[in-house]
Amino acid sequence: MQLVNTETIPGWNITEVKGLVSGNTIRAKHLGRDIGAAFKNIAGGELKAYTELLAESRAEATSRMVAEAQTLGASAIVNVRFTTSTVAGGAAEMYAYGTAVVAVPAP
Amino acid sequence: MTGVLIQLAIPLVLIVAAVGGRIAHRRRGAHIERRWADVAHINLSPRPTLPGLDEPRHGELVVGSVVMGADYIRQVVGAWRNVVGGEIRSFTPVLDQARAESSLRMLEAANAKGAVGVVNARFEAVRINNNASELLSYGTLVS
Repeated sequence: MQLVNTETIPGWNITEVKGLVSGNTIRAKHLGRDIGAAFKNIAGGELKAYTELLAESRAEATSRMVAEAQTLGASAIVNVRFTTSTVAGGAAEMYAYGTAVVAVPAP
Repeated sequence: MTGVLIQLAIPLVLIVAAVGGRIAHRRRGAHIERRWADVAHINLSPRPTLPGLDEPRHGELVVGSVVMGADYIRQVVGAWRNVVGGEIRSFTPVLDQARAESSLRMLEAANAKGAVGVVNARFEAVRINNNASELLSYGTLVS
């Protein structure tokens, strides 16, 4: 499955549009990681545990979107967008969406 | 006696941590500048195409992200600034650096795949807790 956030795929022609596909996940922060983050907050800097947690969640949302595209028989997703929002209790929602298409190599 | 020690220890820990945070911030900045030189040849554009470049043959999504927080001194200054209003100058360099770090991670991922450019670049910031934010950069690498 090819993913791009442009409207076209370089070197490929889009022959069919299958429609909007999306995937989401809501991840709560692990308590142990949160306590570690509280200490880290004094010195500032990168909160590596959170960086990894959010990257994992985003990958999960992306793979759910890809799974939906596969059931539609698509070969690529164009115009991929990511949004993140914090929801109740400090949990984060990751949402990935895009347009599932069928693409063939350009002649 | 113990009470006095605790009263002294808390501000001491905060000051040491905050000063350490400042030094770490400067060190990260230098590190970012060094790494930037390695990816300087990659064209980064918020537009969907790169003008003046041959038709690319390959496109692929690349993502870079970082969660960054401000140190204690910056938080206190920022809290005061919130009362008065105006630009919170103490936070500006933190977010600036975090965005540079996240775009750098995106560019390094693109470089590892032999990209000549990253098009349609998008930047997002999301607040994670009281003083930490996630900076996300993504785009389509072309080669």
